[in-house]
Amino acid sequence: MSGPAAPRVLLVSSNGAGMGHLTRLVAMGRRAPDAEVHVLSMSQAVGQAVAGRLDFEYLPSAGDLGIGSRRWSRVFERRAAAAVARFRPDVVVFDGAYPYPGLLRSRAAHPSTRMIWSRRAMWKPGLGAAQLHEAAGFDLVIEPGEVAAAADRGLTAARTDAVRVRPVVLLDDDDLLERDVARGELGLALDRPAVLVSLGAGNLADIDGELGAVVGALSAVPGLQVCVTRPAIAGDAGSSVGGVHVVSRYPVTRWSRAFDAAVTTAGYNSFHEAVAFALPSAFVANTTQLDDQLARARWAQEHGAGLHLEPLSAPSLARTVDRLVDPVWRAQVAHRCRTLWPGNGAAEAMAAVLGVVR
Amino acid sequence: MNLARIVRGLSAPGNPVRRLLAAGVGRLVVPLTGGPPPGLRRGRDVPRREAPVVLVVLPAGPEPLDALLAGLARAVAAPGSPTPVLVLDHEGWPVVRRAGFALEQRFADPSRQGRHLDELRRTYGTDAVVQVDPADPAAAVAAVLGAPVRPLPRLRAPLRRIEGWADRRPS
Repeated sequence: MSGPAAPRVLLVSSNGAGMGHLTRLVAMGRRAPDAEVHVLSMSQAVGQAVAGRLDFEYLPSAGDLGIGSRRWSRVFERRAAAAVARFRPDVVVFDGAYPYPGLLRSRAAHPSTRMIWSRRAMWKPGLGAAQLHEAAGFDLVIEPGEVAAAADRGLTAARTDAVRVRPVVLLDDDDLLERDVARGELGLALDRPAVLVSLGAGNLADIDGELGAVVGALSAVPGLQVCVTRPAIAGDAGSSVGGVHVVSRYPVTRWSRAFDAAVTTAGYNSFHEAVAFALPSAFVANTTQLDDQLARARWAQEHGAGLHLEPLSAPSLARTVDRLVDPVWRAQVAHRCRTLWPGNGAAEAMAAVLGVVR
Repeated sequence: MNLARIVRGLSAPGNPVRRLLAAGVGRLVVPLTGGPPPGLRRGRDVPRREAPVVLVVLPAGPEPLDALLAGLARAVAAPGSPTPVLVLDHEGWPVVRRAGFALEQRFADPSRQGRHLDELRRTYGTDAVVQVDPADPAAAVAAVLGAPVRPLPRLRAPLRRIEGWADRRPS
């Protein structure tokens, strides 16, 4: 006699400033061995992120098509409805700041499908009231944990409508390559310190830009190996440009033990991966619509979990470089991160998802 | 009741007539026609209103795209030229993205790919689908340039305006 059918889970991510929404969903999806998981994403990185592991479908975002949101909404609604009709999920999990009305409307034709909003916290104060009303359209709201929650002044901070789980990151300790192996794969010397710079797009040669300023300052340190990530989506091959190593791997966290320190954004994933894997980091707060990266970066500095870097401020940059190359400071931060990290909540989040349909 | 009052009533955002009109016109006007086609990131100075969209479908596998993309870039530089949307495996997406073209996913399963192409024809309002022979990218570029304009392009623009009015959210 056969057992009950595997639950069918459709993970839907919007296309945010980075890959955060998609990465959180993939973190959940890879921890559901008994479920049938399908990904519908507006991120062009979806192929790189899930190919070979999960079935996926790319739906171009308004930005990718170069059209306005109103026209795009029609396309989204039709194609999301088609995906739901084809896959017939027991549960749809949306991760994004703005739930799409078209997605919620798709349940009219499939009333038994449960809807879950994976809603990252740490919203900028006073913003997001409109989309919070959409929470009523979901059967469950899951809030991935936030290490810097004490600094959260956003509208979700005081709400009690969400199931809170520990912070969600893609990988666990066991997934990371050992230091020497990782360095070997990246072509890095074993006997010199290495710093990873992961600030997204930017021109290495433009010293007036954030990326160029950071790379320029780090490259001036004798003996320091400077590595720059290029988003996998940009398609650069791993190589060396003007003495700077270019790393185009996904997920780059798998190679994080190759590095002694990092300069990265204060987005949810980058920040929590740095804390989870005790990689001493300087955090740059990107300007995003809703994610309060500034609060996260400041919290890290105030609590000894990293630095808040303002790349275009010469004093801030000089201070940061001094710290990043200081092994004593790095050891202190790594230790602090280990005490702060509560463990990966990806499996908990997935259990909450499946709990809705079981 | 004067005409102005009737028009004001019909124009109210929640008016059912207005909603019906929006739904009806929405079925007539394919989602991405009636306005500039996708791919505007590659050159805002080129007038593209009502330019035909061509689905350019690549075969499976890691075929070199350079010749095709260079040919397409030259082909679409002219005013009124077609707008290609490339349909390919995800491995090729970064290079297509860098070239500035809109792209869609190619599915390995033939039946799923067939349904997908039907949806893309509807999405982009096109009947023009060019299958690329990797050995002859020039033929694909020529086929893109020769793509026919879908009938009634002049009608879709005013319909789109009506739809936009009917769909307008209350401010």
